[in-house]
This record gives sequence, structure tokens and C-alpha cells, in this order.
Amino acid sequence: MQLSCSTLRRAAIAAAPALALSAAPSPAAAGIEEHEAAYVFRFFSDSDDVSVVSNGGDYGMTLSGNAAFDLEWKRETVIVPGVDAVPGTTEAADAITAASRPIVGANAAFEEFRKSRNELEGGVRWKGLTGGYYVSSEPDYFAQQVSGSASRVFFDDVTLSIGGAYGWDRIEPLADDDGLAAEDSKSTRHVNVIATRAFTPTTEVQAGAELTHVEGLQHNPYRNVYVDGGRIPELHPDSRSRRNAFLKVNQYLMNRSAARVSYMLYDDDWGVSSQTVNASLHQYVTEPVRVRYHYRYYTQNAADFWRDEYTEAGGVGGLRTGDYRLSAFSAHLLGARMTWDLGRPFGVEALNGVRLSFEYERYFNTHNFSANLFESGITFTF
Amino acid sequence: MSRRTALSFAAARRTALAAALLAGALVSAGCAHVRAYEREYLQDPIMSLADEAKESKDNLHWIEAREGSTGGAGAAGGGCACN
Repeated sequence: MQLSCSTLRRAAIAAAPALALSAAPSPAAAGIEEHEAAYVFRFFSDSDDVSVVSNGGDYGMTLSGNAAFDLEWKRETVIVPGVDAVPGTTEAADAITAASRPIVGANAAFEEFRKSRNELEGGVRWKGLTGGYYVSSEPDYFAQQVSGSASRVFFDDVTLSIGGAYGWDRIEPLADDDGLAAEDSKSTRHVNVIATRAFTPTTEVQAGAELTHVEGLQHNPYRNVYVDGGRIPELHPDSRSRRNAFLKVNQYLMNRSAARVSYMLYDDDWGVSSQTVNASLHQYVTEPVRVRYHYRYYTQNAADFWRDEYTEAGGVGGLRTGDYRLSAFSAHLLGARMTWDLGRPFGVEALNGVRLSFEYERYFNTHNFSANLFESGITFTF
Repeated sequence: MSRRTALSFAAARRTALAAALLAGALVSAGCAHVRAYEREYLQDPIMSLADEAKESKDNLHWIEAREGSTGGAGAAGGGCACN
């Protein structure tokens, strides 16, 4: 029965975009000013030979009366290669211990593992109010979230926005020889306040703060760590309060380009604090072609209970982790994006409102981890 | 009340205060207002923070799955088995 419910959920999410498109009202009937439909393909691969293939679609309508509706669907498939080591060796045992995937049987660790996720997100906007609903389904994870925000303009040039979200997730681990396979749940509460102000005719500044509180299962149910010479499942606290504040400066430059710099400070009650600096240059190469060059620097310290090796039984206060994201490290990201409005140069009526986009990003960190992300998309506005 | 819960309330109060101060400073800094007819450059597509937030949302999703922090986009991401 459990399996059939999960299958039904996945099928419903997969079929929703087609149902939504077929139910879309005619422009005359609903006062629709503009439609926009987009398809996006992403391919991610990293230095551990993990790859993610993502296909997504987006359909939006701008309605009369300053209202809009948007529906986004995405399907991601994660492909994790088998352990590349001789069975029975220390290298193979270490790889299996640290694996963040389920392993059943002696040979499964040496075989490829695939997992897909379907995701659907809908949003409405009316004047300064927005509302949204998100649902995603994986074989071992089902997540839902509702969100909303309200924004208002003060003193002609200051926009103040307040937003919130509540998410509730159900975790149903797959069979795993050495993991904690019990069903569990997780809930997330999020609030944010963002102020945006035009300082000069060419300068805009945005400042914001966010609070997120997470309750429930927050470790990987499949991952193990070495503790006091033995191998036991990872265990993180079941509560985490996270907060951040950020500042963005957006400057128009007179050669038809814009520069953007942002800084974010983050900390949480697990002891992780981080700083992020983003810098980007946006430029018109020709009238229909825009490019964006992007650099991001990120640095964080380790969580209180992170250790390279655990020597005490049970870990640190009963907590232990094999998640490198809770260790101290720094990371760099470099990227470029090109957007091309096809209709303008060719003067072909059928191409009006057609836009292509391409993006490449290279990520690397001080753990010798690196990744490449390629994205391409096509958008139709009609 | 546990120590962690007490800490999180204190952290929430400090963050709310910092946000209020930041927003207040942003609102009150400078006297000159930018009029609607002076916003030609601010409304150019390459200056759109909203468009960038939408483009960045999916990329943030895969970055955050590989780092310990979260946020900066002004919205919460939906859940996934990214642990």
C-alpha cells in the first residue's frame, strides 16, 4: 500500500504540467496580457563522478490587474557510480562507510545507483502579495511547502518585503544494510525581511535578513562514520536554527552594463558560520545578446560536533557526522551566462519572443572537490 | 526550556533587531528621492534583481546541497533528500 501511494504521488506530480497546460484559459476569457513558456536542461557532474540530469518546464501568465500565475515542473535524475575499489580492501570499506546512498547486498556498492525526483511549484502574484506551493517526490523523500510574501513601496523609492514559508517533509529510507531505516519527518519554518532602495538613478541597494528553523531528521540515513574503531550510523541534532543577513549593491554602468556585488553573513546553532561574496558583471554584447560573468567566494568553519576522526564512543555528545559540508572549507565558483533574443536580429515574426540561454559554471573547494554545471534553455513569450 | 531553544530565541531577537536597524538605515540614508522618470537605467533588464533571483534559484539549490549554509535569495527552498 505504501508503495502504491508513493507511485501515485510521483505519477500525479509528473502529470500535473500537462493537466495545467490543458486547463489554461484562453486569453480573451481571463484578461491575459502575456504568456511565457520555457524549457530548461541542466547537466551537473562532479569530481566524484556523480552526475545530475535535470529537465524542467515553466509556464507563466501575466494577467490584467497586476496579477500573475506561474507553474514550474522539474525532473532530476541523480546517477551515483559504483565504488571504484577492489572488494574487501580498506579503500572499498571506507567508500561504503561514507556512502550517502542505500546499499543492500555484497555487490550493490560496486554498482551504479540512480534516483529521480519530480518537483512541481506553483505561484500566484497579485499586486504586492504572492503565494506559492511546492511539492517534490523521490523514492525515499516527499516534501511540501507553502510560502507567501507581501511587499509595499514607501517614500516612492523604498520597497519593503516580508515573506514566510512552512515546509513539511516525509522521509521513507530505502532498505539499507547498515543504515537507520526508520521513517521520519522534517519541518522547516522560514521568515525573511528585505528592503530595496534606489539611491541614485543608477544605483540600487538591497538589504535583507532571513531566519530558518528546522526540526526533524537532518542526517543522511544511509551514511556511517567510524567512531572509536567501530562503524555506526551518522547522527545530527534534530533541531537547527539558521540565520543570515545580506547586502547587495547594484550599479548601472554607462557602457550598457551593470555591476553587482553582494555579501552574506550566516550562522547557526550547530556552530557553522559562513561568509559569501558574489560579484557579477552584466553586459549587452549587442542589442539582443546579453552576458553575465559571475564569481562567488564562500568560506565556512566547522560545526561543533565535526571531527576528522571520532575517538570517543558515541561521537561528540552523542552526535557524529561524515558530512563534509559540516567541516571547515572554502569554495570558489566561476560562471558565465549568455541570453539571446532571437527575434531582433533576424526580423522573423515567428521568432519574436523567442529567447535562448546558455550557462556554464565551474565550482571547486578546498576538499579537492570540483564540479561543472551546464545549462541551456529556450523561452517563448506570446 | 532547553539551552538550544533559549539560544535560538536570543538569536532570533538579535537577528530581528539587526534586520530592523539595517532596513531603517537603508530607508533613512540620504534625502534625495529617485523620481519615476529617473528610473530608465534601474528598469533595464540587466539591473533586474528579481530576474537574477529566479535564474539563481536552481543553481543555489545544487550549491547549497554541497555547503553548510543557506539563504541569500530571499526565499526558502523546497525540501529534498540532499543530506
